[in-house]
Amino acid sequence: MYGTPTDPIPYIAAAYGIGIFILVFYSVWQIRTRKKLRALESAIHETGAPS
Amino acid sequence: MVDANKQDRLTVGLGLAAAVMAGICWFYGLRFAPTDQAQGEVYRILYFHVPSAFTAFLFSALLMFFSIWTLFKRSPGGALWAKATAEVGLIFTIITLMTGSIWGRPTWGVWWDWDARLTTTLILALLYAGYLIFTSSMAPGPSRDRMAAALGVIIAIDVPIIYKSVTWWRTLHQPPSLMRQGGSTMDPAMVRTLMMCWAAMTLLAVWMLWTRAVNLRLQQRIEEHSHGVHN
Repeated sequence: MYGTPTDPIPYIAAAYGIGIFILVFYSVWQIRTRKKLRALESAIHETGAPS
Repeated sequence: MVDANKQDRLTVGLGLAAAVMAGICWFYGLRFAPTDQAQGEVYRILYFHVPSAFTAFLFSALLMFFSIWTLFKRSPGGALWAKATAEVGLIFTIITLMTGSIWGRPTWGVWWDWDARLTTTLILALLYAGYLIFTSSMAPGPSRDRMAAALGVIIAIDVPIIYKSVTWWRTLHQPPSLMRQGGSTMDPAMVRTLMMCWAAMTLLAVWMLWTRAVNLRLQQRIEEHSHGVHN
């Protein structure tokens, strides 16, 4: 590697990109799951089924 | 339902606030932190990698806390929080491994090496994954909760081994530069940025934990209700 310095930008972009992607993906999945669970809970309340 | 909607909006708002804080810290690390004399600019990956690792380790301690709580109090609530903790802990361990690998390529010349620090961190990820597979595959009940709690305590034992691995064995990974005898070898400006990033990432992780735990509780209530209707 002597005499051929590595360009750091692609590595920095890849590390931050992958990290942020995983965090955003998980967070959005949780928020969407919450909406679905609330809808289910609401449907159960509306049918008036015994708990 | 109005209260639930309010709570969900607050959840999203707090998540966005934590994300903005983390974004500001990462931007500061990328733009304003001093350049490392030995590594050059590529060391800036560490503002993502090191806080992720610290958060993953912190969550193993939290998992141990919830596991002990489950074992002694025999509380199903503790098991639920433990499961959410293991999930978030796994995410941060995966991020640690991936960002570390990307940093390792230009710094060490390899994407991966079976050295003690990397291998024990991979074991932590496998333990978290094993814990989640175990809790998902067993029938719910006190027996599953107790066995999962025992596994949760074992997971936490791996973290001191990860921490000491670079001093116990000869490794490619460098020895501690932050928490070491004689003080940190890092520039104080770098340490400040790193601590800021860790604080922001911990907030984000706590938000993820809270969101996941509430979802698991909701899911549990719906399942209990469904079983009640069918029995």
